[in-house]
Amino acid sequence: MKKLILTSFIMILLSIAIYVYFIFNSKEPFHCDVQILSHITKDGQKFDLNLHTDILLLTNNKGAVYIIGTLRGERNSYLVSRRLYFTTNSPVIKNISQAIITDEKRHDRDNAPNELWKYVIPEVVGVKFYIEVKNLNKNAILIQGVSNPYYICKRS
Amino acid sequence: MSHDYFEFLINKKIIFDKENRILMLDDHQYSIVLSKPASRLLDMLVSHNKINLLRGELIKSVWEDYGLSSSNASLNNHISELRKAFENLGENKNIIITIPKIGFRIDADIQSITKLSPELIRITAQTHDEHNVQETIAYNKFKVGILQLKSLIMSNINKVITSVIFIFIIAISFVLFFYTKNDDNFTFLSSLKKCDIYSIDDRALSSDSLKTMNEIIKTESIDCSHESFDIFYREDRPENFNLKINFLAACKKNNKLGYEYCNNYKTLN
Repeated sequence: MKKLILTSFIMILLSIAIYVYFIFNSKEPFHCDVQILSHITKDGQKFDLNLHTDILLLTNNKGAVYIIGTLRGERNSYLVSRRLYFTTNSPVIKNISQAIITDEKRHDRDNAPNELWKYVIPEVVGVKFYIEVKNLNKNAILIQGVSNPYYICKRS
Repeated sequence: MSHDYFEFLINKKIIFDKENRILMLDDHQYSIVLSKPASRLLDMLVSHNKINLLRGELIKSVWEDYGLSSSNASLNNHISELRKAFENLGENKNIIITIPKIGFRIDADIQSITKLSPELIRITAQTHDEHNVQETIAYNKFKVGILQLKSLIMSNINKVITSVIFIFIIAISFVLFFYTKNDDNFTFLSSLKKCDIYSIDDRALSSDSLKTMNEIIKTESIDCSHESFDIFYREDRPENFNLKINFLAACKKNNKLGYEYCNNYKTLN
């Protein structure tokens, strides 16, 4: 009987350990990067976006997105160089977490107008939104919003 | 009392299993194995409960009838062994009374029970309501069944533990497998030369969507003729021309590492 109780106790502990492991593992930190080539047509104008994006998700539910590249219109060309800082909560549904952009830092040379930037990243500072993060194959990660994918990036 | 019985219930809490020379608590939690002479000695005593037995009678029945020689000292030693055993089982060691210069006597509530259902007898003995005998027997049979099951589990405890651990490991392996596998639900659509094309959800693509995707592959110069890519495609809000988003990711395959790099192509209208 003692053996049985001891075994049950060990198994319960092991189960809790595995559960905790997966809870933390689901927020495994990562760094991934991707080249984004985007074509935007708005109000009769066409813009081409060429951005290199680095995404970091840290263990403390904080993360950052480093974006550098160009935004070219038919008449104008802009430089993009900015960082977005965000936090996430524990997944509310499997892989889906609530996120919020807490800050945006623009480099002095970043001259991309906000009217165009909102088409690149519609989420704004201080407004909560949901993201889904999925592992893909051995080393890729899909990051998507509720209705559309943001990135498929390669884990660095 | 009769010698035909294999077990005795002493003071309603200690079982003496004569055949196996075991003195144990009635819940089988704690048991003591007696020496052969001590077992025979206790058998004599319980079979003559509350009756003074002479030293000579005891020596004869316990030793001499078995072709062994003994002495008063040996008898005292085995009486001592029995007292110690009773004491270890929480019983008063004076359950065996010394009759000075004569012999010994046991003074206890002793019931003869069958070996197969000691619990049944014990429980029945505690139940004096004769109007409910049938119910009591049925209840006791059930209880004995539970006890037998418990006994079966306890007697195979190592097997039970091994089985539980095995089942647990299998269950954990399943959990690990389902958690650690790619949690994607990408649907393989087709192959285009060296490229494999997937949909980023479980929806199949319409012919129009496939056409659009092929145009993007061509426009963005994704070279499926010479390089291997996994291409992931999704069309959002396809019915709404002003809000339509085409997303295509081309990840260059590297057999060892997964992907070398990923490029994303997005068209917003």
